[in-house]
Amino acid sequence: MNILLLLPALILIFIVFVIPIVRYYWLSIHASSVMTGLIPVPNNGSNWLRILSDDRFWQDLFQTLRFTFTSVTIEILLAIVIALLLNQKFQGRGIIRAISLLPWALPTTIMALGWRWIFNTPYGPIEQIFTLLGIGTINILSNPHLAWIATVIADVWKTTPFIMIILLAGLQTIPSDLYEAFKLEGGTEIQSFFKITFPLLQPYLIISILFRIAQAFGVFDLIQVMTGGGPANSTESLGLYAYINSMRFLDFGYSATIIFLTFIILIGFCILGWLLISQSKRFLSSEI
Amino acid sequence: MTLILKGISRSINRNWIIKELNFEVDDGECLAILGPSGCGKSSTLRVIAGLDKPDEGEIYINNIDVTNVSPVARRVGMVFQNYALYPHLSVASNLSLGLKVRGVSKVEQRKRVSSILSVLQLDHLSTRLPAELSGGQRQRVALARALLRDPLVYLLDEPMSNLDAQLREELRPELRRLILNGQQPVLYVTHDQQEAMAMADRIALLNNGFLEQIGTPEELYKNPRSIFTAKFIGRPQINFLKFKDGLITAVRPENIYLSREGYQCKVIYKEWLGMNQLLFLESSLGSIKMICKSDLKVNEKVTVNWDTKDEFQFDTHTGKRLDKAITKSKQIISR
Repeated sequence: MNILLLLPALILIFIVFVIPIVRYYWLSIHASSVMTGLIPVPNNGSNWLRILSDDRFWQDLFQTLRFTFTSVTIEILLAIVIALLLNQKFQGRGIIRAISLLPWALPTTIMALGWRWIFNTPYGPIEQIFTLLGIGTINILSNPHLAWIATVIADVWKTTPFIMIILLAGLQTIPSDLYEAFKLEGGTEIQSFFKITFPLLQPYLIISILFRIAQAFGVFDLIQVMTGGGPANSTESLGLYAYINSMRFLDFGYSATIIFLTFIILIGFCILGWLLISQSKRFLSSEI
Repeated sequence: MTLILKGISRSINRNWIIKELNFEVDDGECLAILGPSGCGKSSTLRVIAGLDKPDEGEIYINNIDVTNVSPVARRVGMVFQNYALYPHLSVASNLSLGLKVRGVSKVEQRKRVSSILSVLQLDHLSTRLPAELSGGQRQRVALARALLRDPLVYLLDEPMSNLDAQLREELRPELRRLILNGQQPVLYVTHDQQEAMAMADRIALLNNGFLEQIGTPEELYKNPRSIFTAKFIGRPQINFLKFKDGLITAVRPENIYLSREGYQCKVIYKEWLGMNQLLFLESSLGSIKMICKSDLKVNEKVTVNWDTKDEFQFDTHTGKRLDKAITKSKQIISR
């Protein structure tokens, strides 16, 4: 009887989650490209052998990790600061909270286009400023060493509000009498952040970090619009590489292999993060 | 270690939350701040703790003006209504956090925490989180934290309001043993007049931010200076009867008795209280409540009366006491 009540949810999960994953795995052990006339033919795992020695894949994995960790770290730090600010009482707080959410409400493709123009050479304001300062043009989006930083800046701009709103909601669940009790006992503002705010914000930080890692790891539209993966594939993410393989090279078997391996790596990160967090929680309650 | 408030007022958005509060709490004395919700009880406590600033007036602790002194330096031990225990810390860590931020050494921290834990019989709970404690245990941890502060003044904000009635009665003697018997002045905020009478040496009754009356529980009960006090102190509530225009006569239900002569009434409802019963009577004067030992039936006709010495007379418009007893009670208060 209990199982019966769970059935609708199980069916839904099966359809939208289990079937696609199994299908991807199945595709990854088949050759399915223009060469096979788009008919899947078992190829004894040669996709998997190919991916192990595919430099472009490992280069893209490195780029995706670099992009994920840089942007998520900056976003979390910025979001904490902004959430703390917006949690203070001041006039016009409601309007400022609403405005600060706008970047997140914009469609990624549109904001990515905007950022492409901001970094444009020679018309973008950034190049203009550098020129005015006498540094000269630096061609950010055509420099393989710098272009990924431009994508990080755009991503931070867009998704910091998302984390900020989660943390702000978290801050509002902390009762103010905890801070008052701590103040009466002699705690300073900075101590109250590290002894009360930070530990009580932890569940919200964990949620937003996991969300953001998963999201940033699969980044596609921002990169596609801003740089198209260039210059010299330096900003190409795994998502973009899988897309190129399926949609440009029409090699669905290999594309599925990339997606499946990315999926496994992401799960690995999530488990690692979970372990770290549960350990730190136990540590926190006993020792201050 | 006296606590003195001189003309304390506080406003929020031009509304007076508390106005012109004057009172003194002696060493080892417990003053209950009593009043209905929104009367400024908690605001008074917060102003004394230094969490809020008064617009006017001065606060003295130990004869030192602390009006502009930081909350820490005032050294108050406060028990919050919801206990304000740090939810992510164990009981022992909850207690030692304050010591730690005040720079007490690790060895000393451990010593003081374990001694307070054994005084309050919390030893076995020291590694638990606040969420794993019962309401009574949480209150004890909050008390322990206030005790560890070694305060000059104790401020208790409705410390019993989150506990059920039976537990409240059980914990009263413990609270008295731990805090009320100490050398420090204690301010005890409550909305429960029974609790105020049971715990406090004196009661300050607040009404809309004003001090309505201050005195021993007995003074407030026997000599209410206004309709508000008469109504707030004493359960079941006092009877208000109208004999003349502009005058209200008040008699407590426990002072009304059955008699040959007096006022004709009919019993319309009764509540059995165990020791006696509370009768709701209907008379030409209006409805009357009385406490009665004998077993009367609903719809029974009775004659009731009371002694004039048990009557209070109030002015309908000002709500102030009119009869002579007031002069006597004034003398008591201004002694």
